Amino acid sequence: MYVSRQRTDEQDPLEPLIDALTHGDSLVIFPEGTRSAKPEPLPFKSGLYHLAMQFPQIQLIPAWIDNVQRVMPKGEVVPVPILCTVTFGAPLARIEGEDKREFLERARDAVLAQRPAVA
Amino acid sequence: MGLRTLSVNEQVALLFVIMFGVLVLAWVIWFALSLRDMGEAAQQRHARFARDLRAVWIGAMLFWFAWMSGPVGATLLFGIVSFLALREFITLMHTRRGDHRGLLLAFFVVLPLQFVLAGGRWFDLFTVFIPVYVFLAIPVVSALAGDPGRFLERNAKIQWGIMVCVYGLSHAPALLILEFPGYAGRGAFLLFFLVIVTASAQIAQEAASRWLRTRPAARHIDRSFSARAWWLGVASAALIGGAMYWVTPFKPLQALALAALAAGAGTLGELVMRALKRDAGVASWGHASALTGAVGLLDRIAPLAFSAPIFFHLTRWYFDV
Repeated sequence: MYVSRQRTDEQDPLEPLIDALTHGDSLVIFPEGTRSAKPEPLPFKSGLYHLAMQFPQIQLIPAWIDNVQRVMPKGEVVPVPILCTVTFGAPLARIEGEDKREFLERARDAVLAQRPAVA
Repeated sequence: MGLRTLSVNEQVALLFVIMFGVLVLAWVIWFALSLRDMGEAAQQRHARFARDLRAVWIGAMLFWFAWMSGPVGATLLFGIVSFLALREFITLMHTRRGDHRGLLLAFFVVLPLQFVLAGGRWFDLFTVFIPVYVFLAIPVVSALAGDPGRFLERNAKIQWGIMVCVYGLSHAPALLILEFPGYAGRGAFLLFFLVIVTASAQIAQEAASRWLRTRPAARHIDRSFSARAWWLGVASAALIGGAMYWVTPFKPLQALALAALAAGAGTLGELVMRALKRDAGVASWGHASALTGAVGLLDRIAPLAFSAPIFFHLTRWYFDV
């Protein structure tokens, strides 16, 4: 699902996601909104927060895809066919009255916590 | 000798009947043993044996399919195995961004080309394509990526992956379709001979190191590997190879010498792979908790990947085929 990254006045970029969620679909979200060359994820974009506020009943499950940086680094178009490991964590708990910045940081920490320990 | 009077196809069929017969027998023995009460240690041995037996079954099936499907099919089949092995290898090597193009080259250009060369019997180019051309091309691609960090180490990783998983394994289909004068169509025996001597050296070496309890030669890499156990492995492989001379185009002493050399290379190769594993920080290439989708394929094929090129080259060079 493509989320437009150009901001326009007439349309909410999250609209297709909101449609999918109201139809009861699950979404896999990469909340950084881009790929980066850094080993750690960039700060999360606020779309995740808005979706979480709008749909309080859905579960937010943090996941870490290991090796994905090596499969297709930013700027490359052909993936290297190596094995990836996906680790899922416990659903993110909801905290009443949390502001956007705190929520996004907490979500990012939850994702980082799924990173497998380096052997 | 009655065997010689059979046609080639009948001989090959007999080979497969015997091979699968032995495997069925092993499975029956395993099953009979599992009906008995066992202590914990025996149970563990039993489970390990079942795992190894399953691997041998898969290997035997692969061998059979490769033979049934002719040169093109065999090349394709081993090409797929090589791809999976290289994937396991590269996954555990911590490559960097700058390696991306080099890895693409390895997976999507070098690997297919090498197997095409094997399938087409262009053996002169097949032998030098990777050590000469590819080993020059990979560092060039890496250098153009513009990342000088750990340059030598990163290139060595990719080159080793190609050497073991692609170059080594591509010799299996090459052996299958190697044309020996007066031995046409019997390539299956050649590969079978190689697999048997390599495997028996491994088994003998492992048994010897358990009984002898000698000082390990490289304690930090492999606690069980010792010079004496290695020699015993090579010696038993040589004896088995010598005894199997009649399935090969070799004379008994030639078979003995070739078996010793191939088996020695295989077990030493296993040691090298263990060192690489230690370097990568894993217990086995298919370590379940570290990695999903890896089945430890590399663990099974590593000795063969080292012995096959040496066996292939010696055979071609000595017999001039």
